[in-house]
Amino acid sequence: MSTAATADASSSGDTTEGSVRLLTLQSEDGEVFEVKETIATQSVTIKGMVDDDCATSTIPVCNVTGRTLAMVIEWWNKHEIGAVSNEKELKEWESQFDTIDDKSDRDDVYDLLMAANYLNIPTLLDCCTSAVAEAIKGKSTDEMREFFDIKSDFDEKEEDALRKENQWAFEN
Amino acid sequence: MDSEWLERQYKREDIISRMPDDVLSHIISRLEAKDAVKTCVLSTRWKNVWTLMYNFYFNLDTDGKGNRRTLFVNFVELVLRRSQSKSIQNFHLKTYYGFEESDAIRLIELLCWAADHNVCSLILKFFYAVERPMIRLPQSILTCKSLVKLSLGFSDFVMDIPDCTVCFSCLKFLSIYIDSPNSNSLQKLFRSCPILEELKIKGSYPTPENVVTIDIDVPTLKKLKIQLVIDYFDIWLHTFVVRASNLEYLDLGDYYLPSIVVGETPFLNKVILGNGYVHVWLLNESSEDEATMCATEFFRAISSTRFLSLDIKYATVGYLNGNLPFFRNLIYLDLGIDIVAGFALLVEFFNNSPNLEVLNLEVLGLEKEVEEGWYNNQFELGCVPSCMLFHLKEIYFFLEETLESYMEGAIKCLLENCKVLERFSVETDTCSCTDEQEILNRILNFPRASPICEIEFVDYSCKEKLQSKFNKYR
Repeated sequence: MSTAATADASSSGDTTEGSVRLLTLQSEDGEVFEVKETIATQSVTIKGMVDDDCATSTIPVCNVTGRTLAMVIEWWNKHEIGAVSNEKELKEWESQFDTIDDKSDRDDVYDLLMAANYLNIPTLLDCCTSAVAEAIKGKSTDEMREFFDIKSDFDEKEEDALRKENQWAFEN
Repeated sequence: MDSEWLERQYKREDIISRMPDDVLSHIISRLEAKDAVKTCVLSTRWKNVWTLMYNFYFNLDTDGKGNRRTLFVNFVELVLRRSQSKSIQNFHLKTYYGFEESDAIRLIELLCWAADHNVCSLILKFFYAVERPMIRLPQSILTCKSLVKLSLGFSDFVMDIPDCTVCFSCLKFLSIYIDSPNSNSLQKLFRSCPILEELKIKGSYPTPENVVTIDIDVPTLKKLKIQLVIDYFDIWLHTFVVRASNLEYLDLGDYYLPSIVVGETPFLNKVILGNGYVHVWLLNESSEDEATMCATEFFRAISSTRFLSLDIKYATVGYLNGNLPFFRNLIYLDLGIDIVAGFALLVEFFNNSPNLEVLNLEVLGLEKEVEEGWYNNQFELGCVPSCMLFHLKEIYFFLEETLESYMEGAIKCLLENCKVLERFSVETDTCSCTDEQEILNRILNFPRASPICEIEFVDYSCKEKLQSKFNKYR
């Protein structure tokens, strides 16, 4: 899937490839990835650890599965400066994550969204939040419930009261 | 893990509601306030999610019965009152509908809330329903330390800049709208922004009583755009004096050149003059000599630019000829001329731009009634300009009239002399009759100085593509 992702479980922390330091990330389900420090620091969380010298041993990435982490690393590789020659190509590649209209894309975007939030990756967070926000835009509440499989646990009175309180938002 | 994921695929499950508050706040912050608030009835989980949003986008885009504007202000008030955000990023309020004084005053008071919550970007586009309104920005906005972008539209917002307090200490982008120009207060405003990088001035107003001089003295300024809609008979009543030694981008739209005074701009990268009109003709207040001097001064001041777009198709610019400075850095020229001015100006650009790589030329032809002879439409080179020998790689040729034989002459001359040309594109939308087909065939057979030169015929959509490409160049 990606050149920086290897599943060598025996390697530990602080190794170097040429002059570039490699970081070892471990997913929630135990998969291990070696990633160039220059790439992984697109995550503000990891950058903080590197800056504080806390990235010398394996970094556990809780709440993120190996499958998702591999996608995150692919995202980093594409967003490394100079990796993609033009903006258009990058946008085209990103477009696989910028909509959740198709149910099969939705879980990937959700997983990436959670990972982007945990690792604090602004570019990825922007892309995924925008995908979800786009799906909310212009929908009635019933359409939103249907789309996101949200079950209302309000009784009719409560819902009516809320609609009345925020009347302006429900008028068109 | 994969099996669990597969299971999720098939089970209809409400994943989004289980996401933590901070993730939902990011999502909700991308929505217009109205859409965000609507989520409150989805389920109890969502009841207060919208109060976590840190961007506030308010739009009143449809206007209905009488008190709708008041209800809109009530809504803004409610949203801000219920908000739990300590720090907000964007506060944007846009509407084309004029507010009564009482509603506008309430809106302006709500801005203090934004200032208290460390707003970064503030966009206000609305106006009073009264004539010559005065909307005073609250003091806390002027002194707000988090504000990076301020954009004010549709109305002239009054700012009382205090003499000894620092204002707009972090402001980098400022966009203002003028409908009653006041030299002193504008000057005070620009001076009070210590790190301003981008300035946009828009406006439309009746003839001022006195001459208005607007002094833009901002050493940190990199980008300046002025877009005024003024009756051009009164245009001489305005003078812009630009002193911005770090300026990289200058867009003057349609403007009367003798009214613009630009100081030294050694880092200039892109200059845009005219979107169809540049008012460079003479007005009764100034003599031809005076206009020539002003225009010459102006072009000298911008002569370090790398990209230049100059559209003077509809202006009489005879007095520019012979007065162009040396454009040492110019690599991209987007030039709109009419045939009456002749190709003389173009030739002068060639002679004075030794590093020119791309020429995008639009020529407005003559109406048939105009007698030949009183203008010179011949394309005549003296010695071959050095840009043609070493740098000029791309030429795009657009015609507003049919392809006449004098155009053919110009094309022949360009092909014969440009030694490193790679691409020569001619717009052929206007060529439909058989005569013109013959001309095209002849063009294809003209001798070419550059062995790698490709000739292609394009349609007008190519012009738009080039325009958007030009706008993107940094």
